[in-house]
Amino acid sequence: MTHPMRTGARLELKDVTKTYTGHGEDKHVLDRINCIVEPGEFLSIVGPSGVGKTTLLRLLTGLTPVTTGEILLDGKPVTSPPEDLAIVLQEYTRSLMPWLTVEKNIELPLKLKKIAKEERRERVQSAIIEVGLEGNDSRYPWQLSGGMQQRVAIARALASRPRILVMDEPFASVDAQTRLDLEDLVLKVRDDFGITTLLVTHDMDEAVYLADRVLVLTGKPAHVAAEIAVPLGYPRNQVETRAHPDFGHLRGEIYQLIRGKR
Amino acid sequence: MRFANPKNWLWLISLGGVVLIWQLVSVSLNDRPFPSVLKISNALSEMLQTGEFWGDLGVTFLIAMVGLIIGIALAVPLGLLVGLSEFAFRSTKFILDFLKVIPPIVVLPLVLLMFGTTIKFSVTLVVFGVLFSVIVQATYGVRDTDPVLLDTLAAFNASKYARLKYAVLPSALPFIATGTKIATSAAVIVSIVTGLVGSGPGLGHSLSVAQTGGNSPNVYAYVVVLGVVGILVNLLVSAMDKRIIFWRGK
Amino acid sequence: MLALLRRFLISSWLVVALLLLWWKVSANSENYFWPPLSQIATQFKANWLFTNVVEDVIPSLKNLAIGYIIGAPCAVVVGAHLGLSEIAQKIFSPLVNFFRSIPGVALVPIFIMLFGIGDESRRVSIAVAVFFPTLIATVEAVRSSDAVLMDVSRSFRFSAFQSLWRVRVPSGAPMISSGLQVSLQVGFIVMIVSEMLGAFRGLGAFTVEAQQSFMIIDMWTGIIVLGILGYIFNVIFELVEKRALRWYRGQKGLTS
Ligand SMILES: Nc1ncnc2c1ncn2[C@@H]1O[C@H](COP(=O)(O)OP(=O)(O)OP(=O)(O)O)[C@@H](O)[C@H]1O
Ligand SMILES: [Mg+2]
Repeated sequence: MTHPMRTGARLELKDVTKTYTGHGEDKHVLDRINCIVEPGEFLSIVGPSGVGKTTLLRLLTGLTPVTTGEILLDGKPVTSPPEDLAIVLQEYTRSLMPWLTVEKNIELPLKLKKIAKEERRERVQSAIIEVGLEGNDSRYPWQLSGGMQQRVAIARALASRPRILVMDEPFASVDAQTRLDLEDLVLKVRDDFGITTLLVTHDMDEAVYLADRVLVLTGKPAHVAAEIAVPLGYPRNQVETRAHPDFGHLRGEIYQLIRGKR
Repeated sequence: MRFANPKNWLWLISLGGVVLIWQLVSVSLNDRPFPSVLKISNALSEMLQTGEFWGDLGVTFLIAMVGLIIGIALAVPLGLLVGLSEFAFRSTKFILDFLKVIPPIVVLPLVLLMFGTTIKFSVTLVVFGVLFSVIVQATYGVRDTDPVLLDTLAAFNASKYARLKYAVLPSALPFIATGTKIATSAAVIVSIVTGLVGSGPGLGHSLSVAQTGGNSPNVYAYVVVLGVVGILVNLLVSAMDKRIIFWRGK
Repeated sequence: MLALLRRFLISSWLVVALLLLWWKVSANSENYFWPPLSQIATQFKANWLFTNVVEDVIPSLKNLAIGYIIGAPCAVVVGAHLGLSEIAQKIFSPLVNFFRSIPGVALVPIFIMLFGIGDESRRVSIAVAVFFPTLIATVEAVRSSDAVLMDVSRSFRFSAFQSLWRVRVPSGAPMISSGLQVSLQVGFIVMIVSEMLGAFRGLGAFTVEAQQSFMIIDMWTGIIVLGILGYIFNVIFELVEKRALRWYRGQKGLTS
């Protein structure tokens, strides 16, 4: 299998603020968030429940407009979901089209982009192989387990050949074993394609295990409490990496930040 | 506050549009029975001042309500009985499914022949229109009883009567309410149809008389009235709906 | 195999028993309204297998088909677009609410007045009557599209048109389909009423004419044909729906 090596995109958040208006009083959720994600980097975003992680993710994918500040993807301001960006959402049961087979689900965005049939087929097949779903092409999402459904969502994201992949708690509702498998799948994908990867989670272990760097959000309104580099090197291993003394250290540090500041 | 918001007045645009288009068409089609808005509203306001109209309206509702009440009174016990027995349910399934989808208009000629253009004819037809859908709903309601609840009651050695009261009926009631909701709209429509097609008493008959007599403004006026009646029934039904949803705690 | 036979017996014995009972009880019936079933059966064969089919059944069904095929798809298209726009709903919903509240059958006299008692007026009545139930269902279906699927469409940059027809309408298909089924039932009723109110041919006209000229047995055969047709339409509709919305049943079966 040969994948054309692509370079990841560079993401820059400048003084990003979000205030939800309407429905009665205004709600100031995010306060002057600044952050730069380098091409090919893996960034985890953690924070307590309700802090504004999903909000931040929706802003930087262009699904929700910022109140003030600016988000730049490769230097261009993000106002709507950009071409080079793909998203995997937490709600796997709802994010796939239940009336389409696995193959058709992955193919749909390509079809609507009017990509030629041959290329479509090739991309769909390689995405299916990439996420390890061979032999499930013509099954429906609801015939698959939760973990497999999330693999389909990842395959669909990959088939559009993004340069940045953004995931919102993608493994929060799958069982523990599947979760570990999917974490390693995401690392493999990042490795194979060299794409920039952002992952929102409230699981501190997961954040550290996967990332080059962890962004910790706390407070109301939320601000960046810390950016923590993870010097664990790749490839990672579920047993060895997690047993590494630095791993426990980083984990403790993040725990302190989140618990201490409440 | 609500009235100050211009968005809440947007529908006036469509109303104005319809009146305008209607007027244009009626002018350009003056050889066809397509009277102007003014003529129709005159016919309507004259009609509203006659006792005959209000009598018709009352009879139409009366027929619907009496038929509805009789229909439900027959359907609920039958539905509960059928639903309680697996054998009865399976034996009657085909017949009930068949009768449920047969519209009352199909048997109208027979009933008309038996009773003539009387209130009895109209009410019988309304009962036919109400009966089967409520029976079917009630059986589904009984069969939807939570088996865990039944087991729990059985574990407490509850009597058959207690099981019925605390498990089966609470489960069946929302279904029966849904059936009643559907049946209410159906009852009013059937009541109108009996007049329109079978010359039974009520608004339907007056509409049919206006049409055969070539009194086109009155035909439209009656249709407007039927639209308003329909809206009222829909409001009634959605009010019932809110109660049901409240009851289910959703 | 034996279980299958058992199930078949349980679900059909009562039908057979009732038919036999009807046959027996009515055999020497002098009752004017309830002629012997045997006579009805004989007359049924003479009338409908297949003498009057071309004359009375085909025209009825043709009107229904034409009215439905014009009215229902139009309603889906209009309803889908109406469901998308909050403003359009504000503008049109009182109007739509008014028109959908008029019983379909009440439209028949208007169209008879406008177009005479030909097939034209019947087809228009059916098309208009069929329009509103499907319209309401489609608007509701499109409005209640899942927010997550909408995010997915936006993130893949589907155009508004693409997300309407590739995501909103298919995901609302179960709801739209129940609107289509109600429409078919309404269309069937309007078909009969429009024939009863003035037609020379068609099933409704046949049955009502038999009733008015006191040909009780003929009337009975008309009622039976109409009843069977009404049932068959529903069965066919549900079969098609079952096939087309297999995904919906599958999904529900697994989650509930
Ligand atoms: N559309 C909205 N309008 C108003 N307030 C909102 C909206 N979306 C989110 N919020 C509020 O913003 C805050 C942050 O929500 P958000 O979903 O971003 O948190 P989160 O960190 O993703 O939480 P979780 O871990 O539970 O997913 C919450 O208080 C929430 O109530
Ligand atoms: Mg969230």
